[in-house]
Amino acid sequence: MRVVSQDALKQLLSENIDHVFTYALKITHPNLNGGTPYRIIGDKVGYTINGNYFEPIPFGVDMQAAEEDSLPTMTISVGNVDPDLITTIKTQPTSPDVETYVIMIDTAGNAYIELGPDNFSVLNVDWDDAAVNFHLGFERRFLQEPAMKWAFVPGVANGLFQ
Amino acid sequence: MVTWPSNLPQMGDVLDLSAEADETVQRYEMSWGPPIQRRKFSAYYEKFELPMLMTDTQLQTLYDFYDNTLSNGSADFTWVHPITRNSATVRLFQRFTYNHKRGSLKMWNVTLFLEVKP
Repeated sequence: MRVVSQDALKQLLSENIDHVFTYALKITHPNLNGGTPYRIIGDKVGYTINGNYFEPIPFGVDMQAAEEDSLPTMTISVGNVDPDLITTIKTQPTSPDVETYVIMIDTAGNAYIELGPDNFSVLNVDWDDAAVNFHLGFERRFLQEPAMKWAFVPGVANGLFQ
Repeated sequence: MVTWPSNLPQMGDVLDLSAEADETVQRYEMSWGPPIQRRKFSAYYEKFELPMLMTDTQLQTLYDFYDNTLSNGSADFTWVHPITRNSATVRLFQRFTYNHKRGSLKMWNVTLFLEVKP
């Protein structure tokens, strides 16, 4: 279960929420930006969080509702502002790793990581003339892998095989 | 960063202005009890429409500043906030408009569309 900080909980239950809750992303790929991660935040100004500067970039985040027996997924949308964006995406042999954070910014302008990092990979990308949508998830779909821990092998019941 | 040319009218020469700012608060109407309001962003952009009077020469300077120095208005520059008069990073979010000032020679009514960045 998620642990929510006292300050965040107080804000969430308040009638007047003066702290800003927003998303931040760290995008890493060896072929992009010389391997240096892109750090972006969904606000109008940038913030330094834990010594790393997050650039203000407009993007939308759609988190799917949590469902039993399914892995979490997330969709990030950015404006399709440049044809080079699609070309860059299409020519990459591997997908980038994305760390997602929920950031809380207090009234004094201090930014904190409230949740995260959560580690995702870009599984699929689609686009139209207005937006590029990155569908995030886990490359290793561990819910569909065999549960080896529970396989009945001789080592589980030594007495039966002696 | 470049600054607003000194030979163009300054903020004190603005004839009139109108302003608008980004919405920074999200409001939720609740089924019961008072509505909840929360901040969406920690800062906001403001847009101003600034009418000014310019001479022929000043309008030519503005053409050069907008087209060449600002690369067709895409670059930021330093000026002052129209209200607070503090130094601010601004950009022109739309090309300026102008028309001839009626009854005067070589004078132009110019309108700037200015965006102040947080």
